[in-house]
Amino acid sequence: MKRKLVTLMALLASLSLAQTPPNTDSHTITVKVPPVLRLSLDATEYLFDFTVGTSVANNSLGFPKATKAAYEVFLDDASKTEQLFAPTSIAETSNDYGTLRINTNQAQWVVKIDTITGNLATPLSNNRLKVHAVKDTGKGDSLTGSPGDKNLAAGTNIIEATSNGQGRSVYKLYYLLEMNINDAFPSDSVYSSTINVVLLLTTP
Amino acid sequence: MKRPWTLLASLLNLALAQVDLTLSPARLELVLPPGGEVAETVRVRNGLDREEPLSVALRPFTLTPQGDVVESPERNLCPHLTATPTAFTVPPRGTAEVRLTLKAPPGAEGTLACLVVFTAGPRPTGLGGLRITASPSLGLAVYLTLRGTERPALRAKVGGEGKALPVLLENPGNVLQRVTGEARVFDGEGKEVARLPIAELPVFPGGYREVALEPEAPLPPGRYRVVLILESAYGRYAAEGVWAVP
Repeated sequence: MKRKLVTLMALLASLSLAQTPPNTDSHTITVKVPPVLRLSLDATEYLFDFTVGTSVANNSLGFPKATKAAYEVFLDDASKTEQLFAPTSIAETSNDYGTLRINTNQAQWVVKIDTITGNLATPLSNNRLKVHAVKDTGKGDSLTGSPGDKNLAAGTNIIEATSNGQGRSVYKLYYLLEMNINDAFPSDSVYSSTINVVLLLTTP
Repeated sequence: MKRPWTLLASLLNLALAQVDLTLSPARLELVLPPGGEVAETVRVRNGLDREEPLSVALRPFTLTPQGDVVESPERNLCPHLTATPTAFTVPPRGTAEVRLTLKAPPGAEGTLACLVVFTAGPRPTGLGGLRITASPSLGLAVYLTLRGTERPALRAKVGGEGKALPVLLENPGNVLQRVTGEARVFDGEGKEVARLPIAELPVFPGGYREVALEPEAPLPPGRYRVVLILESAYGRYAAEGVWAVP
């Protein structure tokens, strides 16, 4: 009886195999990935205030932060006609730089100073401002050279990936202000001036 | 493994973001017959918990030999492109859609281009002192090629001297060439010693691109034979040269 059962099972198994269609089945696997370009900034306001502050301290690039005391040190230094100052403070962050983050699945991208709205009132001017980018992590390269080299000017590329730019890239963004010993500021009011810088991220 | 304080710092950075915008798609390359029309939807996502007002501007552009995007009236697609709306607010953690309508101009040939720029408004600032405010902007490069008018061409030159391999790509045709491929580097004995990839590199019609391909590990000084093999939507291209590594 047991032998008959085994024979029957083997027969059914062979029938089952025989019924398998000779053609293979096919499936469609669809993969959809959106092309993505993401820009994030942690700081949108940089303040240079020479009216207050008793400390003389440098930022992480080695430039003195703008304070009343630091400005007085500069005015008292006969060996210097120019001095680059770092911001007194940057809104919304405790760092002495802004953090710019790019996330993309594109190989090439570029961040440029697109436009500058406004002009610093005299005796200063926009060409007294410098921009400096330092790669923290990720892809691409800074195009700003040594700190203080790159003028803040519309149409200036500051960070770029020409290949393999995919993923997350983080850069530290610094602005510096050049003061000149010959600058003559108004005697009857406190100097104040504001400009807006637009940073443009594109993948061409 | 990521250290806990590194992770914490990353999270704090994310939490403190003042602007966080994502554009999708990141670029558009379209093909239409002259007179044809198409509508595309572009999405802008706001990663923050507050509203983000944005404006849209159209700018004609070209690519420099270094790949920079610069304004140029040549091959201007902008008069034939409409963005709707041109000013809008992206809700907190939300997405806004912008509709781009393109009409391929009759009489034009090859590829035309327009940069659609999405710009966030400046934040309100404090009073007094010297202040720099920063606003972010995302640029969507839109290319339209007129079907039936294409005259594709590409000339490649590879080789020269330097630690990075100089490559010159010239596009005498009238269409955008987006090339992908690699340079294969062989030593004096014919042994392949490096492969230097090129990925989706755009070469503007009537323009040229200069790139320097840097190997992951520097090659020993010497002379190398290089074979460049590239592919675009219009065909395959090859060039050969000699690379002197100092």
